[in-house]
Amino acid sequence: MSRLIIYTLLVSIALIACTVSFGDALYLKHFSFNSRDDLGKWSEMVLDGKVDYFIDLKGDNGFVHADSKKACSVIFYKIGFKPKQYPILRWRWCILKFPKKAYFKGGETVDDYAARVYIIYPGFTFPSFRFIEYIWSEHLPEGHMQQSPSAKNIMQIVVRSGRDEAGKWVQEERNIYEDFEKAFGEKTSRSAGAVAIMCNSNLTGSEAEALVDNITIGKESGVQLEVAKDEK
Amino acid sequence: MKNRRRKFLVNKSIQLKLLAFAGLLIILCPAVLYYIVYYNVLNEMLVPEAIIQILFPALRKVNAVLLVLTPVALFMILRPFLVYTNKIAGPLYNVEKTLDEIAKGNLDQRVKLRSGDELKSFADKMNLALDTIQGQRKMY
Repeated sequence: MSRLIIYTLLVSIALIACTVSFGDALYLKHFSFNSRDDLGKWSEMVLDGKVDYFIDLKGDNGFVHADSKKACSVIFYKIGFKPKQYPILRWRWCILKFPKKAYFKGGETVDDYAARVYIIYPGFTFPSFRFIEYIWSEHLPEGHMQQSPSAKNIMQIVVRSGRDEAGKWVQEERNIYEDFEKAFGEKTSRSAGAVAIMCNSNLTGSEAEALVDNITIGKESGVQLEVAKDEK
Repeated sequence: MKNRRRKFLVNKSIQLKLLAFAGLLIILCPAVLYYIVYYNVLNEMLVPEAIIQILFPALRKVNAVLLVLTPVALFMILRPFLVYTNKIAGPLYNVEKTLDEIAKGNLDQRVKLRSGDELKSFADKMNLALDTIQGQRKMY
């Protein structure tokens, strides 16, 4: 009897160890958005009117649908992790409607982006926070990096540009550890605290619509967790 | 004695140290609480645009109120505190003066306290001791 207990315990430990190491090797977190409740643990921050964020289900496959009408709100998911350990951020997105083009007002560019995916690095005070926003811009060139007009510690990186791929699902992959260094000129050992999605059209007083799916925080580049969902 | 002291700072060194300590506590405790609230709200909001558009305007209002209220609160708390330190520093000053006189051989000197002074029991016992010593001296 005691041998059976020991044997069961050993097998359980081995199974747990295998699960942990296997999960650890592939990814830290994967958001498939395949269930209606998948935004349940995401928080929303309404800034200027509520953007309609909801899970759009097409059969078994789902994605986040963001519909902004002159509005700006953000959804975010708190997750603490070391970008040095999990440097890969991967997601798929599709822009259905771009907001109106940016214009200059009082020496500043007034701009909205149909979709952005953030990584938030919390700190002890706001100036010690760091934010990297990956944006799909209609007019800024791909690879362009700029400081946000809102604050010095927010860096925006254009990962997709133009309308050519509007209406199509596009896969993105970023090395957030390397991006942090490029954006802020220093290697980081700090932890990221959240991942966020934003769709806004409030500044240009227009409308924007975007879809976001399969956000993955992982270790290795190119590891696909799900079959591409081109049928969406 | 019911007459009040005209000087609030009887023993500058001790009283100013106590005032500085109290002032520091009065500023430090709310400052720590302020930071804890700020830190937690900041880490709850997380989104930079939200922090800039919602939290910062609110903080500016709170800071403006604090800027006005802090000196008022400091004055309202430190003034009675100064009066209270005077009720301790005053008797200590009196005891010191009395001991100076006793050292000179003047055993008629007694510690005189004003109403509301602290250390009353200490002064009473010192005066009683002086009465005893003076009585014994007279016997011999």
